[in-house]
Amino acid sequence: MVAAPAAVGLDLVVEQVSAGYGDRLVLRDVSLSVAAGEVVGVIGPNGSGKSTLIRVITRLLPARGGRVLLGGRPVERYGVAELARIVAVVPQGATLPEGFTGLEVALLGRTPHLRLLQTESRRDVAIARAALARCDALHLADQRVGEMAGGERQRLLVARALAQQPRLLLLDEPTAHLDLTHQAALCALVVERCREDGLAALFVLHDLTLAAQFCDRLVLLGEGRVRAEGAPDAVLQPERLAQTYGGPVSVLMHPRTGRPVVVPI
Amino acid sequence: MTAAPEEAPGVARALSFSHTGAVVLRPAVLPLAVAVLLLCAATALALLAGPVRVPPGAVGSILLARLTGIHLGTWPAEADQIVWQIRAPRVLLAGMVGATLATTGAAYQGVFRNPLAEPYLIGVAAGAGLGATIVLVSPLSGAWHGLSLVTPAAFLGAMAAVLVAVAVSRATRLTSGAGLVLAGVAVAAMGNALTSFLLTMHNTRLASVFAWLMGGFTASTWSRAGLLALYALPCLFILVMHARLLNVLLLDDEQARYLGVHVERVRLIVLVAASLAAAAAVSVSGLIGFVGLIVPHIARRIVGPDHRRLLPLVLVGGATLLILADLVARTAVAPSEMPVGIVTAFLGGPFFLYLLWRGRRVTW
Repeated sequence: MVAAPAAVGLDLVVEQVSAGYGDRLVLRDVSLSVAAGEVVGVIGPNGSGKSTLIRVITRLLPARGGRVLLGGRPVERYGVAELARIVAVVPQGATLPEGFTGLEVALLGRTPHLRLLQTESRRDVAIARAALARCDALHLADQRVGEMAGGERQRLLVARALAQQPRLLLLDEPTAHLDLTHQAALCALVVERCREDGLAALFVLHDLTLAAQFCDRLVLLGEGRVRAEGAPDAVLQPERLAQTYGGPVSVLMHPRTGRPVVVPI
Repeated sequence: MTAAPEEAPGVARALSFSHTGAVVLRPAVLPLAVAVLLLCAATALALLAGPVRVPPGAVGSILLARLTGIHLGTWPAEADQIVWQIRAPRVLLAGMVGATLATTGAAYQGVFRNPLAEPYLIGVAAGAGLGATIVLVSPLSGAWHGLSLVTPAAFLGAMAAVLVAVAVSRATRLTSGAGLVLAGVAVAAMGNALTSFLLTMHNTRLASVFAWLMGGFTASTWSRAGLLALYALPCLFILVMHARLLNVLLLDDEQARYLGVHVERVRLIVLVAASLAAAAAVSVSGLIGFVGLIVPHIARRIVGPDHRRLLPLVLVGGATLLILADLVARTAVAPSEMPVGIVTAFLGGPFFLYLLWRGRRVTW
């Protein structure tokens, strides 16, 4: 019904960014990049600045130093709505109004594309339904959020982000509060959708094993600095993780994928 | 505007499938149509009821003659006076104040993400009352270029009250909606005490102080209705215009921003429009509570949380409720009258307790 969005991924470049709250500097000289069509994972212990990074990229928190470039253009030069048409965020622990239906939530993703007095057109509804379908959530279209399970709500947030037709997708711990298999299923789904559209994606993940399975590259943050950056098996070295996380860590190999599996023992 | 009977169960939902399978957006036609019918019935009832009996035919003829100039039959001049100069402006004023209070209640609830926010409960009405009273008892009470300073002063009082209540409730860090209401109660108490003090200092008739604090439509005139319309109608239009963005604000600030909404700007616009409308309502009718609580909650149960369906229904429902409440206020204890605020408090107090009792299981 709706042609796949002509979404071509957008390069994200973070150059020596420092940012913080009050006197506390949370990010120090952080540099990283996500190329179009690439899925990059950001990992690191609690308080290492992972979520702050997303807030800086989306202009919610101004950088104290350095700059963020989207498609070569500094992020401050984008308007709030303009930015939301290019960058979609799946926030951490986002709450949704319980009375909304699945389709109404997905339609919220059309907000940056609508003018003040405009209401959603058939095309917007079709885009929202397509986004739901792509997240295996079409059956939730008429269901109310209050009746949904955690995994279903999370897929709804991803559908809302896809309905924005972004070129860069930022995900902040999208698997928090999900059980084991739902975590992997959600990650697989998001990565597949990004690959289909050639989206650039930055994935903040707590779970190192999941990050290793699904991301092209990983960026390890520790105390606000980039500790390592590169392919998952290059970044996930036991000694480095032990140092960054402050505890013993073993890295095994997944029997099927050959990717690293991280065990905190 | 009319829904085919077989579509009726689906019209409450914004979205449904037509027989071709195409998705169409559809407003909540049936609930709104029922509400409009109720409003018409309430208006008719209020125009007919009163201590002096005017036959329905005469009421109709008088309205027809006044509105269109077509004269059918004759009626005593006294009947014309009662229907056109007393009852009609009173019904219109009650309807507009009801629509204003209910719609601003829904807007405050949306913008604060707080189901208990309401002009009366968060101190806005009291702030507006104080602002209006200060002008009324001062030498400034005259008009400026034909416009009274009462409503602008009421608006300043309303904004001051809402800002204090919001600041204090943020400082308390109470996550439930209780913080704003608790702060609002304190603001309202201070505002009302000052208002009473000023009025008693300048007015030896305590009855009129009491009437103001309890709200009412005893002194309704066409010019008062016009004054309210001048302020309230543009504000209500602005609120309805922002209905879709109010839906986005039901998420949290962070999500709304990620969806491209200037959260602070939208919140300020809605807050100013709602406070100005509420202040105008207070300056023509005094303090009338709970309309902004009862109507949005019932409407939300019927059409859900989408403000695009909610606000029109709340507007019509608020007008209906206050016209009926005023009807009760002037007929229940005839030949005397009671302030309409007493009637709405009788309805709203238990309703408020019910909402508190249900606790956080308030659905949006």
